[in-house]
Amino acid sequence: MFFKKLIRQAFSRLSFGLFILTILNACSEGDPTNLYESLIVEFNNVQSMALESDNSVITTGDSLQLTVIGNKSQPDEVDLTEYVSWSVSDDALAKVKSGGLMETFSTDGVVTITASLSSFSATLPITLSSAALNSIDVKADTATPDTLETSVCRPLALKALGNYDDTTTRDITDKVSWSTSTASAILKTGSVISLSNFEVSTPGIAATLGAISSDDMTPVTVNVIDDIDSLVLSPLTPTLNVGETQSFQVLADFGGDTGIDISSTVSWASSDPVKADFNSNNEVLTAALSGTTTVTAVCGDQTDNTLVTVEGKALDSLTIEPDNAVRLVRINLGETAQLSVTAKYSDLTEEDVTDSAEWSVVNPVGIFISVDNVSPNKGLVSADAIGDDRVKVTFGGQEATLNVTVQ
Amino acid sequence: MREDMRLIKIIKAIPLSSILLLVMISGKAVAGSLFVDASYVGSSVFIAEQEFKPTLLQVGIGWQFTDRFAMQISQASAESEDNVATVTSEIETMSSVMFRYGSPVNSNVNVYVMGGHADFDLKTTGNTLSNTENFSGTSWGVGFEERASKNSDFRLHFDYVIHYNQDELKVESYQLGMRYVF
Repeated sequence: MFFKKLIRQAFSRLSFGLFILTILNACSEGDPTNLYESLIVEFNNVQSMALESDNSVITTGDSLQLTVIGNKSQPDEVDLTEYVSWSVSDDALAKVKSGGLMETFSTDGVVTITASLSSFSATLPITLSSAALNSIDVKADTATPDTLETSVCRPLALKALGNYDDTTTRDITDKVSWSTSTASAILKTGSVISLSNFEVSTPGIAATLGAISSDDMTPVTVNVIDDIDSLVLSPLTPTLNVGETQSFQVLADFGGDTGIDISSTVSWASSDPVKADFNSNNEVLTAALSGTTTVTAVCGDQTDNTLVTVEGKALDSLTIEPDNAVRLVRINLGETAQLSVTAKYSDLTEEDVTDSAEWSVVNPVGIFISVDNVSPNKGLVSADAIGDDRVKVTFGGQEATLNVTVQ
Repeated sequence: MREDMRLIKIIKAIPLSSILLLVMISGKAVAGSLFVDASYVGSSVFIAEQEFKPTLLQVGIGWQFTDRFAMQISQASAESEDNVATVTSEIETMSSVMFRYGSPVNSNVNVYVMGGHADFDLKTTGNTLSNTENFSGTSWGVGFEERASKNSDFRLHFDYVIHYNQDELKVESYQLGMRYVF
């Protein structure tokens, strides 16, 4: 009876509480959107706003990322894309999601996109066309797009331009798939498509979308030249303990361009991989065995190297067992307890060093406990009188303590 | 005009909540006690990824239906504004109706949860903006009160209340005050 009454009362209170919240919630009034947008304008000192996209013409059914820039080309230029409100002149043709991703439907036409933020607004007409793709051009994503030339080890950003039946040209870099004709050329996919090459050559590059390839017209090649002046490896002569890793960096000078980071494209080698070797991602060296090895970075006919010293595994920490949360062991008066100590090393190995370590009692008087420091009884604690003390163990230049209570 | 609208909203909220409260106490006859309250209110206004901390002074009057249930009507006015960069923000006024359901910890201390309705004017000024907007909605929170001494009619209280929580605006307050129970 008692529990039934308790449960009934609890449900009654909960129900009414939720009911009150639900009713009152319906009374919420006020729209903070205007205030929010005004503050964004104020905090970012927005004086002007521009709406941009990579393309002014897109294929129906495709999506397009829109970007809103405040104070464009000014020192305080700011990306406002996530703050603006979006509207579309014809909802039947397209919609814009929060974050500026425009999605189109299946009908051709022209829509005007408007981005609004407080008293500012910017518009951009976008043409939706179902025209077929005719051909693809591969260009360099540089100030001289028609110059498909780079240096050994130096990445070259590429872009793909699609030529359509309606005579428009659209940037389709993020839609095509890329391939190369030689194994020495590596394509990297990220925010840009880049080509890096390890040797002087003229690798073929192809961008493909559906059945259309840039190779359909004239095959495209990139001229890889050797104009690297020098490269500098850092850090120099590092010392590692077994199990530790080291990242290296290579800066190169190409003609007039200096200090270009080519760490990810040079070839890395260790003269003694048993002592230390690079992982599959290059750049990161892992120390495995005591000794020395020479690390060399190679790009074309340029090299730089440094000596790496690998020392024995480093002692990371000591742990006295039992290793409980309060770091305390209780011993009855007159009894003994055997403690042990474990060493943890940089190569993640562990070793029982109880017999090698030095054991002592922190309290110099040692009236409550005593600890044996002679093999084979090292770490044996005797409870001499009721009270609290600590056992200290020293090994390899490090020490650890454990609280002991005699009860 | 704004004052009139706020008064209407408060009045609209009182009968509805009172009816619910009467139902909640299951029709039991309750003698109850009148009390008054004075509080210092520290608030946090989160908007446009910034936090403003204006303060208010608040007075209130209420009815303690039982040891557990109470209702309080409060009115607060700005005590200080707060600046972030070029923007200044303050809560000019805040009116609220709050209900408390508590549980005594001992004979002197009572902890409680609160729910109700709040209406406030948020004033924001800067180089390019100057406006005052009215917001209202559900308020809820937790708090505790403690008698100043055994059998004293004075009760020190501390409350944490969320007054408004929409996507782009959150307003919460910390209230430290004293109640006197008649």
